[in-house]
Amino acid sequence: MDRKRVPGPELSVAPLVEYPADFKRWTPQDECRHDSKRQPEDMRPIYLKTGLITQANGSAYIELEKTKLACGVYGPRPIKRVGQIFSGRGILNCEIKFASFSCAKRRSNIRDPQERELSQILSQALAPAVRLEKIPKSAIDVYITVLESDGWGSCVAAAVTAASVALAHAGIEMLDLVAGCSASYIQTAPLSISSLSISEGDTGSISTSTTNTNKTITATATATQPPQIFMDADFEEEKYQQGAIVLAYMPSLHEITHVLQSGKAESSTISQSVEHCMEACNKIYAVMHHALLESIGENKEAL
Amino acid sequence: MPSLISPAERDYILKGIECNIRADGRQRSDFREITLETSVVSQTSGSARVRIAGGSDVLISVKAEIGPVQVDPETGDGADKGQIICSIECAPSASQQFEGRGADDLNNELTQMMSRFLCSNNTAISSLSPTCSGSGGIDLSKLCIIPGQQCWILFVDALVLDYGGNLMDAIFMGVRAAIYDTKIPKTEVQDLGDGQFEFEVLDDEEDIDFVHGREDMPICITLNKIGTRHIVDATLLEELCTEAKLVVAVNRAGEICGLQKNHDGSIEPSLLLEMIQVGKTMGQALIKNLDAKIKEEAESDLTKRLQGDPARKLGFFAQ
Amino acid sequence: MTSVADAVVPGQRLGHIQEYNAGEGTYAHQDFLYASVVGIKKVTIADNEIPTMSVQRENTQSAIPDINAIVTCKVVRVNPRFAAVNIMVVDGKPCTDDFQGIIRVQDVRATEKDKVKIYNSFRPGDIVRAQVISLGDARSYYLSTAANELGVIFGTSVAGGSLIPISWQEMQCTKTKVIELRKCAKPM
Repeated sequence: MDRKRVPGPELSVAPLVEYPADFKRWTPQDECRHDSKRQPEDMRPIYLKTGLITQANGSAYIELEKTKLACGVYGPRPIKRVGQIFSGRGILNCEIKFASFSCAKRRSNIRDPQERELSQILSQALAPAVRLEKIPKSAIDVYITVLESDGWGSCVAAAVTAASVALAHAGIEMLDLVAGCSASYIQTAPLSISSLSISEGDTGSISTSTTNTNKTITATATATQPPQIFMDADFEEEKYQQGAIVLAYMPSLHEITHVLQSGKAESSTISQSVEHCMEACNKIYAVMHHALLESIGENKEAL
Repeated sequence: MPSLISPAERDYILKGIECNIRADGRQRSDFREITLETSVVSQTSGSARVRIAGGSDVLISVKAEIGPVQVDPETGDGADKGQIICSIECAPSASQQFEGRGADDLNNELTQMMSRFLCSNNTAISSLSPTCSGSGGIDLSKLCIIPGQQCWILFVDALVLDYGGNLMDAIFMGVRAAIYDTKIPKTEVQDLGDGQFEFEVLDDEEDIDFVHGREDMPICITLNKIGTRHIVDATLLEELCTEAKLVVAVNRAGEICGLQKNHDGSIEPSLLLEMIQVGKTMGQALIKNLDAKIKEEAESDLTKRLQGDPARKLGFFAQ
Repeated sequence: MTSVADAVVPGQRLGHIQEYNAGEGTYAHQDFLYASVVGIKKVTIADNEIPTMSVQRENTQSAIPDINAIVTCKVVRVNPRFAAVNIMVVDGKPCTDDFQGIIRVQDVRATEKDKVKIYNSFRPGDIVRAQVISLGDARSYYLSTAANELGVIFGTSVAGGSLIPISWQEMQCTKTKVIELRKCAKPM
């Protein structure tokens, strides 16, 4: 229980939204993406700016249309936590917090298990790039606040990107910048729901289902078609995904610092999406590069 | 459970792995001996215990309980689905480091990972995370009793009794065995008219259901990147030398059901793809062997029961 | 004058290790030299040696104490074994957050270490110049004042006046002329 705040009601119901008569929800069969201007391999445009939090040593703000995050970096500073054993390396401590209004469903102010796990994932994704051996006995704290979330994968990816720009902006020694990218596997081929349930529910394996009726065979034939890889999927698209991948990558050292995949996929789909994500990360790197150089330019003008 | 390793020992392990020989004589791709036993805890619907020789010991229990269905307000999903709720706990007795709140981070990390691999369309996490269809394999709609009202909730709880490296693989093997062992009572639903339903749980020992889709559950293989090589089934000391860990969840058909990197290191893209491939082939082979053993155990239990013999179990911690 | 063309970000390749030495803000990885901070790259040419490539930081990272660094700190607590201090400035660069350090009784001066009394060397509130001798334990850095230029550089007397050094172990109050004992730093 959170005693410091007035909690919301225990039970609440989402308001009924009346859509206009000609409103049609986006489905993967629409032969375009939810944002119809995008191609499957396109990301949303990225806005990235450093130095918006005045009190932090370094900060960054990132926007991918409706995904918006702010990140502040503090440190290196003495380790506050008691009971820490002496270590010749510094500690990278990440914390991500979803604002209570950031998602479709209201999130509680208390740190939930998912935020704790994401925080851990973020520090694992960033740690390979930070030269922690240069700052013995000190800690770097990275705080990320998600203001608006439109898609889970893109949110995690944007957090990685923003955090590494903020770290660089704080003047912390790093081996490379880390760019984050997400992709979703979405079955775009038209599939009737009934046939899908047969192929998935009873047998699951392809070899046995071929002995079933004709209807099942056609369904498995379409189901074996590799799903389309949608880069940087938004929330509407994620509802239809079979799986998703989030990749963190150091473009100039050519190393992957984190990979997180959920849902079922063939290994060929995965290797393809890893390639796609790495390509996208190279594009994101250009944006990060630009944002950091811009911060230099501004400092020059201020002088 | 040591937390520090000397540079000399690290070097010894590193060079050994480079030459494809490890401290206990294994090669890079060898597993340790695994002890597996099912139906070990009487109070559960299904249980299993896995011990990796000279190391990790985990106990997995599956408890089936009846509860209300959880419906996603956004999509209306989940009305006709049961639920799986996972949790992993490291017992404080397993290691000095698990004392107090010491195991909190590890518990949370493992629990979240297991939830993602096993029940990624679980409503408990769907407020944010992707609603991927059935990477866990288990057919949740078969767990529903009255659509929109009542369903079975499977609580999958893993308890770590001893820690000796390669926890995740041991847990997933145990979960597979425990789900195979799980018996859910059959229910009888009565239609009372105007949308009212009532159901009765049959308490006949013979009227039981198994978990549907259990064959398609994934297991996971943890690959540890040490130096430029990668190994499976790392011991405690080897885990301390690990730069990056890759957990690959694979099902029987060889589909990847989840991937996650752990630890503070990075992996080259080509090595990553190689590790995924290795994980996939090893996982498929492991599932095959595991299933054969689980079946063998279940059959021997059954014949013993038919003959009226008491089923003899090794019990906890036995080697 | 520097131009934006010389501005680099972490991970940017700067050259081959055979052409340049790795200076501040750079690192070498597999035959190449990379930048590790955001800033302006600079090449310093030295005689008989290959030039050194360094990157001048744009946003300076807050200073952290290192071994042999000269720090300025404030005494917060004293007891017979050591004086506890807060490190505020490292090598002339201020820290954003205070680091904890201790000056143990054997590190106060270089000679006659057994005769040192912490109470006669430091009082809470004194500003001390010291040198970092080790990273210490999990909590504090270990500092030393065993040199002429190291010791109390500013302090206030019991009466509240500021103290001025009159010898290497005495300071006088400007208000009351009372003499108090301190391990004084040699004025520079």
